Amino acid sequence: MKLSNIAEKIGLKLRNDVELDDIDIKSGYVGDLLSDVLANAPDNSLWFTVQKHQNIIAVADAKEIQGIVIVNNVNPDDVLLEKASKKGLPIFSFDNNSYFAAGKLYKLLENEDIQG
Amino acid sequence: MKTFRADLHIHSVLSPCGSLEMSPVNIVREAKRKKLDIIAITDHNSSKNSKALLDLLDDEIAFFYGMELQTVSETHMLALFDTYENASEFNNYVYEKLPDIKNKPEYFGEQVVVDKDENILEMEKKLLAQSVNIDIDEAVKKIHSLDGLAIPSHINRDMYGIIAQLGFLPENIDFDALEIDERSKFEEVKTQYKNKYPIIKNSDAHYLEDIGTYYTEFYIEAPTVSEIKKALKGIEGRKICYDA
Repeated sequence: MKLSNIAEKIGLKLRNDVELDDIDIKSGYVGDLLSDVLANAPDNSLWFTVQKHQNIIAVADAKEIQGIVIVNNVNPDDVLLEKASKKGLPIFSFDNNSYFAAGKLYKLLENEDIQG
Repeated sequence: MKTFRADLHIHSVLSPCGSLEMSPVNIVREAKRKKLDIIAITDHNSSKNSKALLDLLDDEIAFFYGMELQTVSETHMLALFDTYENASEFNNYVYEKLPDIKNKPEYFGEQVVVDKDENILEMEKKLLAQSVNIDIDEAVKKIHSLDGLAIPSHINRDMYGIIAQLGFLPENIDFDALEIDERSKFEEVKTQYKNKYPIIKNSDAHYLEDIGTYYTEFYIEAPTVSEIKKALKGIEGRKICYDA
């Protein structure tokens, strides 16, 4: 499903300057331990986390994660946002926790499967 | 110059996980018995029990003052200073950014501030075993502005180690050293990071008998943070004695 579509339906707030239309999301992952995300996140996923350390960009890069949602209104700093922009990696904020964000994504992708 | 044996990571009764026998006076007595030359009391997110060390100073042993900070990324890092004054300033900076969550002693353990004679001065009400709202690089800068040492602790432990939390060591942060514990394979870690950071060993003692079970020897002029910094950089003849 197109990330632009997902962002709109879940209510994700895009924080950096990245074009979403070309990004296709196939799965999702929830994790705050970056070693776990490195080991287990699926390709082409949208990742939900409270971590805002710059290492999240490299982890996303290594795992072909297509977007990062920083949940619980945790505010990423400008350096992180700029670095992510350079990589073409969208960073979103979400005003509730990972459970609600990932739950909504799960439903969207499940419906797409049923219809598609 | 001479060799100083240092265990710079010891928890006291102020850490909820620290044993109740871990009063500053007992820690110092045990450290002397183990022939340690420099120790630090490093409780989670607090330096309050370092104050008692000021009254326990003598010619036999030197102290650094500080804490084990838990950053917002949930990584642990030692912050060590020459003076209680600087440790105290760092302590106040941290305390302000420590979320106002109450300790539940029945779950986490008591958090006891004591003096040199083991009189209870205060029970810390805020939970110390939680993440402080400070980023790692911000913490390192603050520690260095107070002439301290910033050393990620037990880097390859699953719980609160920087590798587990952040996947790999973040770049462009000026850590003074990395710490490993007795569960790590020292040679392996040393080889892996030797071009980036020096590796030191500490006990991370929570019980008296663990003090000094793991330590680092420094070949330095005097037991001060600036001398340790030179040893970590291997300059002016100062060094870490890795064969110890």
